Amino acid sequence: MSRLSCDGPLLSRRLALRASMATFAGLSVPGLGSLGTARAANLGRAKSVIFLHQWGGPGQHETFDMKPNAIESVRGAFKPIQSSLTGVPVCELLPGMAPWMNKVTLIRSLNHTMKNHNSAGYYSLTGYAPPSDDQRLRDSRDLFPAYGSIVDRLSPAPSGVPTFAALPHVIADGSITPGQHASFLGKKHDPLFVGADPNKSGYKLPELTLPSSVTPERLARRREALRIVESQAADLDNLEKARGVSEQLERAFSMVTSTRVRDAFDLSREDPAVRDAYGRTTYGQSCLVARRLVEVGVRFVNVYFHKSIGGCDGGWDTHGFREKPMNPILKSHLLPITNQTLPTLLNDLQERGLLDSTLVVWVGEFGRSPKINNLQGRDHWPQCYTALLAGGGVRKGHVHGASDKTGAYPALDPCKPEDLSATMFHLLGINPATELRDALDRPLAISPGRVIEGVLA
Amino acid sequence: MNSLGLLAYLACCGAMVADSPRFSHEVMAVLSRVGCNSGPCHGNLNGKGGFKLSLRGDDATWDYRVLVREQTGRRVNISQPGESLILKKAIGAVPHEGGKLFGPNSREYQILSDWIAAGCPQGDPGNTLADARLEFDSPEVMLSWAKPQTKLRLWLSRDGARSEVTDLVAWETTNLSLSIERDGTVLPGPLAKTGQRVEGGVVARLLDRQVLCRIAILPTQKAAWTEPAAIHPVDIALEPRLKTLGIVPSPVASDEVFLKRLYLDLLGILPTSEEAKTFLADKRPDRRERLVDALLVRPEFPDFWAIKWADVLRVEEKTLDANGVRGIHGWLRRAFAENKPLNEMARELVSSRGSTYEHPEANFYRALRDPENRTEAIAQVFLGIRIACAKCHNHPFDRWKQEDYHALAAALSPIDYKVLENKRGDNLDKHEFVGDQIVFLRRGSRYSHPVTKKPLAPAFLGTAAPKDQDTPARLADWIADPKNPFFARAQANRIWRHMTGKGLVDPEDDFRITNPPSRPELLDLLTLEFQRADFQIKPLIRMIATSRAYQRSAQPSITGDDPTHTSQAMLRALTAEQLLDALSRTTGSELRFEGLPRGTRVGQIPGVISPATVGSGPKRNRRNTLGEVDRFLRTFGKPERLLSCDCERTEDTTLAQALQLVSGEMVQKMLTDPENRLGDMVHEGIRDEQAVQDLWLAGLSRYPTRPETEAAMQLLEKGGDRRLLLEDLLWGILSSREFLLRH
Repeated sequence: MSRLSCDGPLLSRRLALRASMATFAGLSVPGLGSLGTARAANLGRAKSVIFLHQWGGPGQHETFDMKPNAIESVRGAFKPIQSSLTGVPVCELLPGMAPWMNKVTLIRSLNHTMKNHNSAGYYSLTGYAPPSDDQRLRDSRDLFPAYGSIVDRLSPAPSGVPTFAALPHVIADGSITPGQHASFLGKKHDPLFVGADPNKSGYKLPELTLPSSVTPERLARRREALRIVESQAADLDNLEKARGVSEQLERAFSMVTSTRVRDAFDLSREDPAVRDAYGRTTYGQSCLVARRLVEVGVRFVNVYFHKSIGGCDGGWDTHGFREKPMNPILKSHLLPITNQTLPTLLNDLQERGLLDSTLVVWVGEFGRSPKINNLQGRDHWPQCYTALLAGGGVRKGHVHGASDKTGAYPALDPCKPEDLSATMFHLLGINPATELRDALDRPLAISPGRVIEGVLA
Repeated sequence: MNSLGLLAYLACCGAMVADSPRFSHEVMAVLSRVGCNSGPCHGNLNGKGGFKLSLRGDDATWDYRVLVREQTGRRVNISQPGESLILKKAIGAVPHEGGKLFGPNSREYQILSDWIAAGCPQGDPGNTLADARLEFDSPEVMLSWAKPQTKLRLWLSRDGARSEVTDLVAWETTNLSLSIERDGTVLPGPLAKTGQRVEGGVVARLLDRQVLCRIAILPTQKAAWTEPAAIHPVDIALEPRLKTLGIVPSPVASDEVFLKRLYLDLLGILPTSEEAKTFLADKRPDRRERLVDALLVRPEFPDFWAIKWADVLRVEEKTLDANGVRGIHGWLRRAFAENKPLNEMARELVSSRGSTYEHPEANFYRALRDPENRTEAIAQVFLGIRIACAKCHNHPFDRWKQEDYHALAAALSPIDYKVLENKRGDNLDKHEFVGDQIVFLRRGSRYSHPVTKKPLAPAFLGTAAPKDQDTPARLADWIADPKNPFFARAQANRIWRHMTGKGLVDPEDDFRITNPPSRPELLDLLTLEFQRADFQIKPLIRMIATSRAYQRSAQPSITGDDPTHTSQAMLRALTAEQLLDALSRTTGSELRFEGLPRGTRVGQIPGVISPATVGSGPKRNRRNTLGEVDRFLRTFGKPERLLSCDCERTEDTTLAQALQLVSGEMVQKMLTDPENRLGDMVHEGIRDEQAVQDLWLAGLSRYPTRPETEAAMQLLEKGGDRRLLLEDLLWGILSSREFLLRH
């Protein structure tokens, strides 16, 4: 129930929602004002988002913002190669992305001030700056919900399909990174989280699988027993809370007995050649599952690159610690996986006609330092980093913002994670100014940022 | 400056001769009234369109500067007031994202243009309404759907003189079942259902004053009140208002419903089959009072109430360590077992000191590691005030100023810790402590206002702190003082909420002008009774539990749903611990925890992390992974205890919960446990009819009805493995709403 709110003349969530839909229809709404036609045209272009979270923090210098003219200790060892977009080369170890650059948007001026993985990770997963730059930021209900949980609250998928799925890891750095679930929105908006490895055989959804001793006949008998008890309590149907219990139980029955969502997780139904194309890695197969989920109508999929920040076969955190310099890890692990999976996902979505309605976002929690350190690595660098966006109503072949000549600071159009979140919500058709109530009933906009209009097609 | 200058201006405004409007008074009122300084507009943290005002008129000095001094001659144009940007924007003469706010003939326009024409006098921001009172014609208005609207009028009064300010105030409603127009007309809002009772309020705001008018819109037809006159004090306190509102309460629930409800609300467990049979056979007229008295002295009572307090006191392992968790949980349990008055409990917690191992109550501070956390927790838990808003700006919906917040933080700033040892597993985690520490008072501690940077004198929400080094102890005295204006009401309300599911002030820890109690007379009574009982909780609980109000059915009466749940019981999902203990008791499958005596219930586990269950495989729990019991409890809403708020314990019904019942390992394991209740039934060859009765009594605390017995026997006669048939029947009970909900 909406109560008094800071917005003075009352604007409830419900009204705000109505307002955002009215804007969609090209109407002007008192109090909200009318948006430019360019924005209105792109509102709601994306039906789904695949959010590819690059845990650990990928370096801009080794991916999509190379600095070949900088001194060696800045530009690094890898060479740029020409791409399909003039003047926007990519790393030589990402040749698969070269033909894609004239079809995607880069934002090269993302920046914030959180230098630790957990605080920056939370920021990147919610669009809200954490209260402090805390290496072990505690995951509590006064922190902001994940993007997908907000979508589930405001603009859910049709019934029978989860709105928000997360796979294949819970990311952590010492403690679990906040921002991966619904927080104060309530557990009913938590993601359908699947922690199994889709690159292993027998991958399935444990929650949707009945215990082996419970045959379909027994399940029917159990429902019969339930009906016996419920028939004595039919008057509970008058009460919303009781109806809610029945509805969730019905949903559970339909999910364990129907095949639609379960089949989306069944990779044995996929052409082996397609599976090979994505790469036989946990990340590659997770991206394939993400595409299958989008096909059945899931609105938001978080795919985490790896569960740990770094190491030889972990995430992007390439400091060079423990005598593990950056370049071999990039060369043998991080960039090959990216080169295999990212263009395959984009190709696959395009071939299936899904790319226009699916926004793919590739971003980490921060970038990496311009200067290579004396361990032959790069350190955390939130001051400037790059995101890649494709499909779902963003421009094709565009670079928004720019970094300076060493990739250290934004030189043009600096953007914050909340601006990226506002843009994602906008593309999903949700007004970023829509307010939610936190645990203490404070009204908070789902994104405190501004839509980055420059990236909209 | 005449403190009633506003009145003076108003008094002669018809002629427009006297004082011109001043920024600090009339202009600030207009900026709030039309919403310029609201959160989504220019009161936003980042402003809007390069123009930022203080949120809801917090800071008149700031606002004056940005309006008058910034962009000189644009926002205000003294030589040509009509060319001022603020006026052109507000009347929509130039594009304005906020739309048109008023017309050129409006009172608002007149005030702003007069003010600009007069050279933008600043007035006196430090001294606005002085001791004048803002009041409605009447603090309460009852409307009928026959004519569901009226015009409210607002007055400023002092020394018998009063002046109407209806056209200067800002309006808000407490919920969306009411709407308010700028001229003061209140009418049904978007959530009102035509013809159905509406309860709510309208808040009027003028500068730093807010005042509430309670509004109800009643159905045109009055239903007849059929109950005999109330004799119980709770019902006596409720009856007049219910009658005025045209609410006919729901009937009192059956003995079966009462029995189960009382066990769950007082002890957190289901009655055993034997207990249920005994009570249901009792025909004495005072059997319910007897049951209340019997349950109040049971050992499960302190178990259950200790959990409620452990939730809001952040009793969790990372910061307190396992030793501290056991210590303070045991301390809380003992306090409830010994009927320790709640104000004494609060005094001991707030004045606690010393080793957290030797003085477990000192874990209260061990969990709250900075003055701001202590301030917010103490205000919320003990005083029912969510003061966090006032950390960064004056509370927008209440009277608390930023200074009130930080003066309380100043009183709590001398608390410090001597960490004797810290054998934490993660050296980078500054929240983790393993080992003893001493909570002590740092002498000469200084706490400064975060904005002015000036040292702040400690104060307790408007009461100056006594001159004493030990301000936390003095704060404890102030909280525990029977005359404390907040404590008794907040705790009486909290106990009502624990018993019924909904506070009279809801949420139960959010008392403020703009969130009034639904039934003020009842809250007054409960507060008084709580004080009279010297702050012991059992007499108050007994009074509530023996009232008709508590014992009513959850079904709405002929006058419809009562969202305040003072005339109708509330359905509540069993808490995670209640549910798992109920599952264990009903199936007869015991959960056994390593290191704890057999028979330990989940509701007795002190912390957030449960010990591993016996036979659950490898020793628990790598870091960041939960054991099976905790996975189950988390799914059903057990909090992580990182906030000082009951709201952290969630009551949502989720798909994940339903999947736990349909396909989850825990329920299946308990059903198939060879040593459970069903094993005995099969082994002893209990007849079907008897088996049905036993299962019903165990899970639903009632006998099965005839049709239930017949249908269940039919199901059991289907043939096949009897054990599996019984499992399926029992599953039906465990997944039923009657089992899953307290009703």
